[in-house]
Amino acid sequence: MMNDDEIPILAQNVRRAYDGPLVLRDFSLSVKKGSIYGFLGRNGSGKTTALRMLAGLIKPGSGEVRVLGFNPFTAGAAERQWLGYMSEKATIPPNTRLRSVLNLGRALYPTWDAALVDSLLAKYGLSPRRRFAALSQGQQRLVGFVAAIAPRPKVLLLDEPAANLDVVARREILDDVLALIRDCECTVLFSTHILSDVERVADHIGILSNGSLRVSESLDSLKDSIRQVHCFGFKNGIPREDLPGSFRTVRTREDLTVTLRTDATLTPESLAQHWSCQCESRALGLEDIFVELSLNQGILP
Amino acid sequence: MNKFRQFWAIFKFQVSVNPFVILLPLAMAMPYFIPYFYAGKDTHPDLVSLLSNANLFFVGLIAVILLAPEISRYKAYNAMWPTGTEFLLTRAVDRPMVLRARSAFFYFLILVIPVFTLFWTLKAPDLQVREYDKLAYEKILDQVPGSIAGPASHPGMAEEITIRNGTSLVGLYHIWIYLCIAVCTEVFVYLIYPLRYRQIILWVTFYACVFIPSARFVLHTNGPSLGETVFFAYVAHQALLWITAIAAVILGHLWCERRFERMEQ
Amino acid sequence: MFLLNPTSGVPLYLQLQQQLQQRILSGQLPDGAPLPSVRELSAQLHINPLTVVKVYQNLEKTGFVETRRGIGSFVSHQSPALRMDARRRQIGPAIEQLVVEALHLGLGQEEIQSLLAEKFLQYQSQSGTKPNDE
Repeated sequence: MMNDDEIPILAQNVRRAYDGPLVLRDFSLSVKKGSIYGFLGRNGSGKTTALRMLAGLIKPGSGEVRVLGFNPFTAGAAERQWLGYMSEKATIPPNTRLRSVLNLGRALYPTWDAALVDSLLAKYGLSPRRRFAALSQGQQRLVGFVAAIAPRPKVLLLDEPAANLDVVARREILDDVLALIRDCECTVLFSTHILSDVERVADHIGILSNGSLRVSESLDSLKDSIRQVHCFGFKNGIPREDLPGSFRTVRTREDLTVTLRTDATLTPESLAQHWSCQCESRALGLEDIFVELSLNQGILP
Repeated sequence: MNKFRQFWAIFKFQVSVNPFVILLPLAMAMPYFIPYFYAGKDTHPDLVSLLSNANLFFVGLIAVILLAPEISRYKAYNAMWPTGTEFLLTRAVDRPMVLRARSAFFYFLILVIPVFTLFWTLKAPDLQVREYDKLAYEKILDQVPGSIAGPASHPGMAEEITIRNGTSLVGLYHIWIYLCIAVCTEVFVYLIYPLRYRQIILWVTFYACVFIPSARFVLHTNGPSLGETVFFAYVAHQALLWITAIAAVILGHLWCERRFERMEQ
Repeated sequence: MFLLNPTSGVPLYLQLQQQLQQRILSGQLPDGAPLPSVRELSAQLHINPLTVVKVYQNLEKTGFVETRRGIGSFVSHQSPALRMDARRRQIGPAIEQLVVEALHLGLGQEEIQSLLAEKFLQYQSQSGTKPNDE
């Protein structure tokens, strides 16, 4: 088993119910050091629950959760200083001044980078004197982001960092995350709906469905292997059965389109041979891959 | 990480989160002005009115606002109007320290005025009360240390009692009551925190505490009021009760810290 | 400098790799030219540094790039035969696409060859160059 240093974020066979039904069942995740992991899943799939568990706000019902080698729920200040968390909804009370939030961070974290904070505040147009409630929703989330990233954590957990942000702010946040990765050996896990953000910066992705990770692999290998194959000119008629292991098959009177994962044995050419037809294939972007997986493999929330 | 530095950082943050709660102690100063209202006048209050404290519910109120703001509203409101607990717990803090800082702020708020006025009572230590009720008159002379009859306001009428160092006695008594209520509220709040119906339990208990003592008027019970009973018990065993109260505050708080540490958000 | 489309079906690393390879093959990045550091390039393109690392590693494997520790990555000095091989491989997918499309439309090899000849003539007369013979 790899030591804690190499896998800063680890969840093993986690089960967790929320208000009755199981939200996470047999959820296992391991994120390697230095990786940017994009955490996907439909609405209500349990992404936020998983992230809150990693941040130490809730405990798993059963199973184990480890961040940088420690249990985030029982961790003390010395361990938590390397963990940064940005929540999905603003958690800072409305009457607090920005200045108080920053002072708290400066006092609690020895690695608090004041210069970085100043540059981020200037970039996002946030003044320390302002009351939290006077900021727009997007600005409030940016404050949460600054508070999470300022101590230059070794593990950064971002719950829907792009929500409520305009396009420019989203790109800038991703740039800030990349800058953090470049400067220090940090690991980032972020959940999002916006797949283009994932494609821009993530090296690994995981798709949460039905309480566990259906897919968890490098983005490159996913894009390299999944193909949408369009088959036509069938000599022996269009096959009735779906190819085992394929994601989705759409048939019309003359042709058939199947989304599948190619490997050494299964390629468009081998398929053309197998079915006596002609095949052309195209690669899919992440959004298409996600939709194809959801529509067929039943990526239920 | 320096524990005190952490404590102080969270303390300052808590103050900034609830800037208006600082005004609440002013409301709690009311009972202390009663003697000064009467000072220099011919009439004197009776003991019960000095002991009564309509602001005890403030202690409960501040306790909930500061120590566990989440439990006073629906879970949905907590999402819209965050209390800061989740934010604090996801920073580099030791969990119990969050409660410790909040608790310290809470005790500071409820004790700052009473302790301040205690020093003020040293200027006018003697307390003069007027008891029309014969039984009460005898009882005070009997049980309250430092109480002597007189000076008589009307010739032949024994109504006045002078209590040596009485203002300090009553002042200390108020502080003691606040401590008791404070620790009871803190423990109660953290007892019900993980329960599903905590909000209902909280408000039912709150209203019960407000109305039940007054229910005696409706029920026409005779005999001494709760306030009087407690006070006379207090004067009889001051040292013991003070030690018990302080021990309860410390142990009760530590128990709450332990519980808070294990609670999910 | 490089145009990357994150949402395309082609992984980012492959896009960058192919574009870099193209620059090297066409001579835009001559032998021995220094390549930007992983940090610089990932910052410029706003992508994950791991992607750049992967590209440089792949190009090293295929002999296009060499990395000298502590100094950086450079375009390697390649033999003309290797270059030719690589070029042929690079154009492979485009050829495939052309052939498939042709079959689709029912155009035969001679048709395509005459169309190709026309196109080459058109481009060469425009830019006044002949294809590189190595």
